[in-house]
Amino acid sequence: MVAATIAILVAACGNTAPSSETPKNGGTLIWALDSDATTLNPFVASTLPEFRVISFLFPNLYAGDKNLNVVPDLADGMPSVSSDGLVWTVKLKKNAKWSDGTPITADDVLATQKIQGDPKLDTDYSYDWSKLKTIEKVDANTVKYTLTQPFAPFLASNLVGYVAPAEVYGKLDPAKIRDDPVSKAPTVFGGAYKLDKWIPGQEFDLSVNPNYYNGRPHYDKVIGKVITDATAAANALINGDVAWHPSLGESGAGGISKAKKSSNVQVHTYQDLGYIDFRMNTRKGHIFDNVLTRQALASVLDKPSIVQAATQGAGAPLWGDIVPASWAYDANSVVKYPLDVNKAKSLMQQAGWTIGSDGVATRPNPTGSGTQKFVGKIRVRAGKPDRLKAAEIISDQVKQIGMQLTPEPTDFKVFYPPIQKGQFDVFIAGFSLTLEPDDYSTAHSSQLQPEHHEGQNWTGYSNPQLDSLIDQERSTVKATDAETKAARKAIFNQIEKIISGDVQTYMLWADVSSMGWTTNVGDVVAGSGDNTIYYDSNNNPASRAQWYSKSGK
Amino acid sequence: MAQVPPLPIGPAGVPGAVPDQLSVETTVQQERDLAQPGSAKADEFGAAPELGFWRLAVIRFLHHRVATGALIILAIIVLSAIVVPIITGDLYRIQDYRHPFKPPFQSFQHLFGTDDLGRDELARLLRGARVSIMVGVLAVVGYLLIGGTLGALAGYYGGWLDNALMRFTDIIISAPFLLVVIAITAATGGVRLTTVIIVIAATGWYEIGRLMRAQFLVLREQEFVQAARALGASNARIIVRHILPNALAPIIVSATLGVSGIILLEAALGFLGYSIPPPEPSWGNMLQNFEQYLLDDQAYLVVFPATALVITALCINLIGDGIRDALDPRQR
Repeated sequence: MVAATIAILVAACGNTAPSSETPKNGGTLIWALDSDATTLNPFVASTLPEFRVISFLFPNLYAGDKNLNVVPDLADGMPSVSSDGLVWTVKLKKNAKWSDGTPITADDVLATQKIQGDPKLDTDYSYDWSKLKTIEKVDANTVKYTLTQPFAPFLASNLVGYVAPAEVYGKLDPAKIRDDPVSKAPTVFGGAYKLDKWIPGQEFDLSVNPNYYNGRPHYDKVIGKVITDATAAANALINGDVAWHPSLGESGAGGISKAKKSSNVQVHTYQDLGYIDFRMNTRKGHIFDNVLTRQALASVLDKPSIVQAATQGAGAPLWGDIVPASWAYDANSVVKYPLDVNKAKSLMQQAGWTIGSDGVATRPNPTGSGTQKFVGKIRVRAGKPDRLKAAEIISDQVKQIGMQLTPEPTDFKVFYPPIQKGQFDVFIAGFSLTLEPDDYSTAHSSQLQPEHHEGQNWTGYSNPQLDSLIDQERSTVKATDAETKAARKAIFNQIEKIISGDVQTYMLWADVSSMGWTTNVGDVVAGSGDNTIYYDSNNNPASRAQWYSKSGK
Repeated sequence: MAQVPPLPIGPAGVPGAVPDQLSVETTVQQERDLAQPGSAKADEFGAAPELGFWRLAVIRFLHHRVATGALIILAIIVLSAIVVPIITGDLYRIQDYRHPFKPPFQSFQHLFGTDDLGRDELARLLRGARVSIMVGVLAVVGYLLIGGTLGALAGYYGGWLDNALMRFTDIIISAPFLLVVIAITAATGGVRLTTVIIVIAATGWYEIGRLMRAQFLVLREQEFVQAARALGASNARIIVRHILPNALAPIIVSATLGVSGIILLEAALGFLGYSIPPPEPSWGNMLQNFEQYLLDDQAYLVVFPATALVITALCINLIGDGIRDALDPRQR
């Protein structure tokens, strides 16, 4: 019985070092940012370092927990949803206050939504409130959202996010919000910390917000240091110059293993919500327009060893577009294509390709006269060695079935425009899910680009059956979050079967990230996706407020 | 050929032939002989001092032990870069990605070990040498063609042409090299070796251009040029036959040193991902992941290309120094 209890305790603690001492207040948490911010205005912010700093300063209505579930933060409990799924009611914590002592109320939530939903808002981030019909203040602590149709992603996509003080931001013109002085020096805070000063290019000095509604965080001060070089940042952690390094994984397998060897550092490695895939142009006349051709590609590649070689263990092989870290993931729902070169060859034949004397496959030109050769380019972003390695291996392997694909490293600035015009053969790109696994924007035919104005379905893939499943999954809303997830997951399983079976896109790997902290930081509960993605999806400040300095420094 | 001083030995076995006292008539004769190389007369008189100058330079260079040593090492590198890849063929691109990072000096099959995709490091190193040296040499040829021509024209004709060409040079000098590379890469839809060579040549020729102009400015005022002009030689003839051979010495030194500069530049571009695309190796793109490898105990993947780069650049610089010493008239 005792043994069983211990086992449960250990399992429950996961990566936490079970601390025997009680957390104490005091000390300074120094942490590493991989680049400077351009703004500290939550409405304008669009980069990871910006969101990381902002997550200390502003409250979240809802946030993600360590298992990537949506949990209330400023909200008092999960939203109550009407039986038709159209009315969502959110209650706020009653005693919550801004740093100037004024209460955080429904007015702040309304003002935040109003700015986000303003089409004139000058921001690089995309806010989508198109499913919202009305937003009302029921009383000082209650907000009622009425939607135009039942919309399941509303919780994770719209209700997870920051709330900004109406007193400050409500007065600004959304079109000019970027250049307002408050964007560089916010004045009123609701998060665990307040900004003391921002030294551009160097550091962010934060001090404790005594009014924080989740209780006083333990650290007195938090200093974010900008260390752009990944190796230098890893060394800073190992030397104890910084106590927390949220993106240790950037320093590569070498940096991670060096940190793991250090007795002063704890490293947590986990799968986050990013994934890398081999995205083919499936439009008519392009080399990958036939599902059999794409299946041949999938069958000639030994995915697990390619991923291992390309990422050195910083990636987990993936078959569908839902990553294992997500609640919607089901390992058994995807169609896997094991390595089978003979099958790949016969699939190529069935697709109408014959291998010529030069080793390159040809077929009668589907859009004209003459023949078409299987020759194409794999666009890869320059400066991403793991993706380039994957492209090199794939380029070498597919020669066996007559595909001549040449890797082409391209600068980020010019990477996307041809893709958005549909002028590409293949590109390797990274995508990131949020807490919401919905793949509407990359797989639904209404999101085809350039066929429709916007959207990220660049593959040209269109499948009415898939469209209707996606529509169905998005409109499934039950009384509780758990019920909604269960119902949606069954539909996601069918979606994944189609996407993986048709090789709508050839998935490569789910990103594996690492964060590290020194042993002086107590009570770190590390889970999936911590601090790796934009704070509206994750990066729960409430859990970070529990950290404390063991030495008191 | 008044500018060429008396020489202790002549190729035709006429020690101490003194061309200083040649009459105008002999100069004219010499002019004609130069137009018909190989004539007996030319061997005895006119061309003798000129050949002697270069031969002397060679002798002086060979006496420079460090430079000779560097030349031998470079010759070995260049020869193996040319010959070995022909023998090994596709070895540099044959992957064994399931078993990468074979350590060096463990087997004869992979003497220098294998890289992150299991490709033979030695084969890649030599193939990369080919790319690096080819870029270096071809871009310098580009320097010479562009910079040499423009510098010669500006220096010879002077006036508005000189002004225009020098302002153009100023523009080229102030062009941000990396931005130009990125812009051209974007415009041509990807990185190619020819693009790299053209961009380097098109943006780096100004040094040779200015040097050439300075030489021409000085030489065009010399008596032998005036003599040639008085004899009715055309501008083209004066430029090519009279001034150019005399302007060559500093240009050769600058061009030699330029090769090593370009090899390092190509490495920097490769490191940034703006050089020749994979699977073709260059020393620069072999260094691309070096930080990771250093931390990861695969330091040999850094050490080999970096050493090759340093040795080659050093050898070329030493040879350049040797050539400068050999051609320096003050050291005569």
